[in-house]
Amino acid sequence: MTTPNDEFLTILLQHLRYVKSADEISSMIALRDYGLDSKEAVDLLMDLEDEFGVAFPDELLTDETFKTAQSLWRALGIAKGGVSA
Amino acid sequence: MTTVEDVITKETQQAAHVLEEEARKIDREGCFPVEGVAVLRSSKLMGLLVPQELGGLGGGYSAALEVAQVLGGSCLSTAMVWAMHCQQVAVLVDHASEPLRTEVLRQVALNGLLIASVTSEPTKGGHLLTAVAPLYSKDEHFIVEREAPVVTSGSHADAFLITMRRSETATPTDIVLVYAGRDELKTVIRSDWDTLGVRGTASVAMRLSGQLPSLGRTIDPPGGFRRVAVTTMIPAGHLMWTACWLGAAKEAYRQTMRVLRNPSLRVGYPLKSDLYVEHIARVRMDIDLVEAMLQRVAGEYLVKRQAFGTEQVSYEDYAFNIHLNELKIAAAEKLFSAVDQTMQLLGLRYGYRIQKETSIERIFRDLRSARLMFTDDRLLVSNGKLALLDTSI
Repeated sequence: MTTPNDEFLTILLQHLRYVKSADEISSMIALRDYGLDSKEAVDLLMDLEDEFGVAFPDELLTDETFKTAQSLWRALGIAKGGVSA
Repeated sequence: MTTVEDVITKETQQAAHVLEEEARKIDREGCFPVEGVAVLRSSKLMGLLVPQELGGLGGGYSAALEVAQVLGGSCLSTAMVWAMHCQQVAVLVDHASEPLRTEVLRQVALNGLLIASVTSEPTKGGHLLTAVAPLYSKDEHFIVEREAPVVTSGSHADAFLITMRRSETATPTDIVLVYAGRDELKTVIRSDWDTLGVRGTASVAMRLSGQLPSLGRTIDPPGGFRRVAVTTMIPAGHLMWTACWLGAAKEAYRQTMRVLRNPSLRVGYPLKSDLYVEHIARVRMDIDLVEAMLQRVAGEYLVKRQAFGTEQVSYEDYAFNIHLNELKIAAAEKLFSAVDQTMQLLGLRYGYRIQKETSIERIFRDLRSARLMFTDDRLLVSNGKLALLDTSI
């Protein structure tokens, strides 16, 4: 399982209003607790898609995907056509 | 084991593909969807409402409304041709007497016979419950001399159900419905169908004339044409049209979402603007409202059919008729407005312009016809008057 890279974490951080710095984001924290509501999640999705030049397939657009930094990073990997961890 | 539902699903998907392929061409050229209708004829879908004992699918209204949505999403013109044919089939199933019922419905089920509706007349427009041209009787024959300003599929239908005044001395409301095969009549196309949208329906102006054997050619149950209209023709029409329009609007919505969800296509669309996403929300809400209303009114109709068959009095209640009219009016207004809004969302690039990512400009033009068919103005007057009688709500 790869670790989320800085580019990903920078984008993620912009959508977590209750986190001050990237250091606070552990891969396993519940993103919802740090401010990622469903509206924010859509903006984050668009930013990730635009930045990484991929489209998340519909089947990945679930609560599970947006649960943690790790689950989101894994989904991004699948969207990029990479190997899921 | 293959169920009727499986057959319907498979044949609908196959047909939808052909309809979609042909849609742009028939729109551009303003011609009848020959390939689309051919695939419908060779499928079992022309006889979807024909009972199984007569060779049909016996699919019922719920299935028909689903199919109408799928076809409507592929090509609204072809879907409307099919939907109006189904409306005629429904009338025959419910009201024709033997042997006409069996003979015609077998032809529909086995050979894909296409039946068109002839209800409009030059001096009365689209008013369904009156007729001007009388049916002349001579010896053992009826003589039909009928002008009709709008007959959907008129240039291609195999048969017609025609409203006629019962006789020269009958009042305009004393109507009989007459069945005639195309080969029994002389048909003259008075003007072609060159329109803004639904350009493939061949809703031509035509003259139909000829002699028919008088025995067994009228659909004339106790209660007359009004019974046919209120128990079958009007409900089937409003439900099926709405389903076709809903399918078309849903397709515009899906296409819009495909563009906005695609990072390479959505560049420049302000998806983070609250105002912009509010407009998306309204499109979705209008479509969902119409779908909910369709389900509700279809449910009301099916409950009546199950409980009362075609017993006329049960369909005359004010609330049911208000709901049926509301469904048609709301669908026509809301779905057109939803598609208009998708055009606004996608702008000139993927909304207004003809290109390969979406067909929103065509759906927009097609759906504009909804408010004009069986015009909303008349239905609103009717509902306004009925509302004064039905105060309980």
